[in-house]
Parts: sequence; C-alpha cells; structure tokens
Amino acid sequence: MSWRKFALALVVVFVVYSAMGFLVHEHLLKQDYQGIASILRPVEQFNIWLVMLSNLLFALAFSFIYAKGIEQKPWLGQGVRFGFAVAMLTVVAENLIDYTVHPIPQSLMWKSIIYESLGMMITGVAAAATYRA
Amino acid sequence: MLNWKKYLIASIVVFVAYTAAGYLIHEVLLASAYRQEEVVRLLRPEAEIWKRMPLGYFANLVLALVFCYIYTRGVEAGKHWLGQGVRYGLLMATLVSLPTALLQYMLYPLPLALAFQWIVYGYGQMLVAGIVVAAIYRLPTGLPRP
Repeated sequence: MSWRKFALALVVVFVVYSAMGFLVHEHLLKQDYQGIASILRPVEQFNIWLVMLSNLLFALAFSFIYAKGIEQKPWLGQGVRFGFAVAMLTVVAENLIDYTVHPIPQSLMWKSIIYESLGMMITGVAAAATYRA
Repeated sequence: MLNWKKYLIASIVVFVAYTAAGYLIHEVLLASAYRQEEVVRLLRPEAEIWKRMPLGYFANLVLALVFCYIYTRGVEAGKHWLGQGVRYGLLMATLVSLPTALLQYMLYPLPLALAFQWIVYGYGQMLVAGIVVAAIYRLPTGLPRP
C-alpha cells in the first residue's frame, strides 16, 4: 500500500464526507428536523469538533479498507460499488435502527437513506479517484 | 473467485452472533441506562419498538451480508485468520460503531456516558463479528487471494 496515497485519500475522504454531511443534514433535511425538534439536541449544544473527530476516524477506516481491496478494474465503478457497500453497512443499518427506536417519521428515514447513500457513493468515487491519481 | 458457500454460512453466523451480542448489550447491559428519564423521552414506547423490531433484524442482516462480503474481498492467504479477523473487526468498529455512537450523541440529547458505552460495546460486537467471519472464511495457505 502506498502510504502517500493513503494519506491523500484520508484527507480527500474526510473533506468530501464532511461536505456531504453538511449538505444533507444542514440543507436537504433541515426542514424535516424542525418537525422533530423536541427530541433533538439544542443547536447551542452542538459540538462541531466531535463531528470532525467522528468524520476523521470514519475517513481513516474508509480509506484503509478501500486501499486493501483495490483491483485491476475501472476506478469509477470500484468507487461507486465501495461507496454503495459502505452505505448498506452504515447508512441503511443505522437509519433503520434509528427509525425503530426513536419516534421519527418514516419519510425522514427514507430521505436520510437516499441522501446519505448518494453522499457515500460520491465519497467512494473521491477515494477511488485519489488512489488512481 | 468468491466461495459462495463459505460466504453465506459466514453471513448467517455473523448475523446471529451480531444480533445476540446486540441483545446482550441493549437488553441486559444497558437496560438500566435506557430507563433514565432523559433517555426514555427520546425513545418510542417499548411496545412500539418491539413492533418495529423486524426492521432492526433486517438492518442486522444487511450489515452481516455486507460485512462478510467486504471481508472476502480483502482476506489474505498466508496470514493467520485470527489476526485478520481481529484487525477487521476493529477497523469495522471504527467505520461503523464509533461514528454512529458519536453522531447519535450529537443528534439526540443523550448522556455522554451512554455514548461511551455504545462505543466500547460496539467495538466488542464488531470484534466478535470479525473473528467469526475470519474463522469461517479461511483461505488455503499459499494461494493468492480471490
């Protein structure tokens, strides 16, 4: 494994994944969150550093696992497939359990799964493009 | 080439082990934490949760299938299965359990202690799943990985 490429992929994945999270949760789902504001943490308690730490650790594992499974196949397809697989593992499982346990509307669950999965596939493409470069 | 028989057996066993560990964590070890007033108000009533539990089992099944599939893509011949399983479990916990616990804590006003317990137990749960898949999906020594 090329550690230089791994370090670069780590940074790229962290930035893209964080940007996707911001787009999905701060814009696309903002209105849906207003409907369940009574069970959400107040905005003034929001800790951006904790989110960054979480995203950094995620990017570390994401980039490492992708690097271990690279094959001699077109990079774009590999990136999309890997992003889809990780979405199944994280986004789908997490949102289904979230809906099972917390009193959130089904529409929010579906929107979260769709938007976050697309974001994950874009993150996979970003990782694949970096390892290809 | 994927060994479908080993993959499917591994997926089923991981699903069972992961679900059993989840039951132990959430129904036994954390049962009192979930009864705190500040937590109860964030959850559905217990009867509603159990009504929706098939979705939770489906989520675990999806997780088990993908968890095992990714392992089959990166498993290496010539390395001991136990070490590979432990490393894979820890890596997957960093990918799945840790961010999930932190983001749940950020989203809902849950106690920090509960989030930490989720992280610790989540690592244990993934470690078990990693060892299980590695024990079942072993490659013959000396052959290149599929």
